[in-house]
Amino acid sequence: MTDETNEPMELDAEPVLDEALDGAAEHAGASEADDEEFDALFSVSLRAALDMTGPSLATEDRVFASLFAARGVAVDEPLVPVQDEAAFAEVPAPAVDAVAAVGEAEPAEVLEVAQMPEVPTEVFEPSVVVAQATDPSVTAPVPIVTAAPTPGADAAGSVDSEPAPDETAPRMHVVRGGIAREASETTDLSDARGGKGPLLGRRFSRKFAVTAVAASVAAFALVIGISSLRFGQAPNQLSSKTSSEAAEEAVATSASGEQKDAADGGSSNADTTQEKAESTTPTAESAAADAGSGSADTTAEEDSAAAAPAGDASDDAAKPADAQDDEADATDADGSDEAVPDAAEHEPTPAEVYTSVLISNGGKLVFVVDENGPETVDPTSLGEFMEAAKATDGTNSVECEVYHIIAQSGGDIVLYAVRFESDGTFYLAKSV
Amino acid sequence: MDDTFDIEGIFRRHFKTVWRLCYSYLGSSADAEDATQAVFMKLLDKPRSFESEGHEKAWLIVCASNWCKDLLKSAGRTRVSTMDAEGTPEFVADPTAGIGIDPAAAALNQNDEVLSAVLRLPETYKDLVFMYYYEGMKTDDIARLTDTPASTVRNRLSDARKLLKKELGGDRA
Repeated sequence: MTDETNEPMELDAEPVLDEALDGAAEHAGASEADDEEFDALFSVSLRAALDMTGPSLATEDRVFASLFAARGVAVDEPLVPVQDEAAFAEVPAPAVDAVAAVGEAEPAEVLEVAQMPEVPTEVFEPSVVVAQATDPSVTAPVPIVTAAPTPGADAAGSVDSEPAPDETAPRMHVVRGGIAREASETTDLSDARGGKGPLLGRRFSRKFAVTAVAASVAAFALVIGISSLRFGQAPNQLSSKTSSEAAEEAVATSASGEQKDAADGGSSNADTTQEKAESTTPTAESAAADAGSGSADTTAEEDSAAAAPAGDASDDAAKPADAQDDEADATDADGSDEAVPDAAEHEPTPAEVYTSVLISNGGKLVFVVDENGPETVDPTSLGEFMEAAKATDGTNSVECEVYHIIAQSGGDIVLYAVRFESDGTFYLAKSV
Repeated sequence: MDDTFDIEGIFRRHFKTVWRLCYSYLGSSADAEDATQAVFMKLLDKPRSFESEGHEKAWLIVCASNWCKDLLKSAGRTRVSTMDAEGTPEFVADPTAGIGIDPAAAALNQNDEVLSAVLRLPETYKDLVFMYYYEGMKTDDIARLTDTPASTVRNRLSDARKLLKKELGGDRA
């Protein structure tokens, strides 16, 4: 570096070095600040982006439901933590010497005992063969359900506590209490969904059940409406049962029928299971029947939950399947006749007979009627007594009392309360 | 923590976190849903006790991360469909080409751009980015969680940051 005279410039080395160091420090500081700024901005952006992708609450519920459906575990059933060695120690390996008469089954097929002590969750492959094992210490044969060998099970039928590595494979599950269920639904629905698990299938079956119940309710309500029109009477005069009550009854009937079907289905499965067994014992029968009714109960609960919004028939629907069978049969046999005696028992109120009231100023009041009949007035909202008047049906008349109403909703129509001596009820009336 | 294994509580507490981590790996809602279900099934199959909610979350994050890595490594992981149920194009991951992203999806909006950048990252960085940027975890905690030296975590984070900056145009986030 030279000046105009080509003589070297005198450089003060110290300030230059300081400047360089300051620059580097500033650069490092700036880089750090840049990173911090980037981190803050990116963090916000990533959170916003991921939060927007979901999942929705519906997705969460769906996954939750399918998770437990796939594993066959009751949600409210507490499980035992893996550290609880005592719980595992209680589990015989297997509890009964399950390798017994397998009949014609392949040698590789293993057996597992259905009645097991407290077990958190054990996983088996779906069964195709059902046979019976005997325990030398137990006199009666023990009911068992066989399963194809799992990767975690050895030839003696013992099962590792480690789950199989292939998590997507269809499974058979034994839950606490020793009831074995075959996850055939999982398998089928998994296939239907292209191996993506049971989500769609469960949704579909539930949706189908709801649709079926809703359709039967609508059909029943339509029949009631048509029969009312045929007899030339308003629906509220035909029967003391309102259409909503009829709809509830229809839902209950429908639920009972479905429940019966489910129970029948469960029983037939149980029968099939028993037929396959080489020799059947009472214990085996009861276990199989329990398994069948268990599935029927589950169906009934789901159906009742689905039917609840349409009408509170869930109480009836939740009854045991056996009890429902009789009721369902009775309803099917003479359910259509039930409305007739109720209609005969219904007595029209005075407000339904005497439809108008003549008051002293020459005006006329008519009763306000909704779908349930004449509307009544709460005595607490009554105002002053206005006058005694006569209610008429066109030919006959009867004494009544007319009262003002304290709270008026506004508008041109003035409302009154009318009481008949015969029943003492205050009926809502309006001037016309 | 209670000795009782409260799978429902754990599920409700951490479902979203697990789902979003899986989504950031797989780029598809359906795949994220399946992966999330698989992670919780794993927990359901092998119940365990956790010391705290943080411990729960850490376990689930690591488990989900491993599950997604395995899924992406598997030979059959070649997605054909690129449309989800709503008709929105979804990201495509192709193991033969590393983590491939449908380029059209990246241009949808700013959020997709950010997600695209994360999805394009090598797998080594994804869980780190999720834990650091989304969960707000410290590098030391991430090191403990992933059983990796803290210096390695910091170096990887620095590399990931550079890649992200490059993806997002330098100074944009």
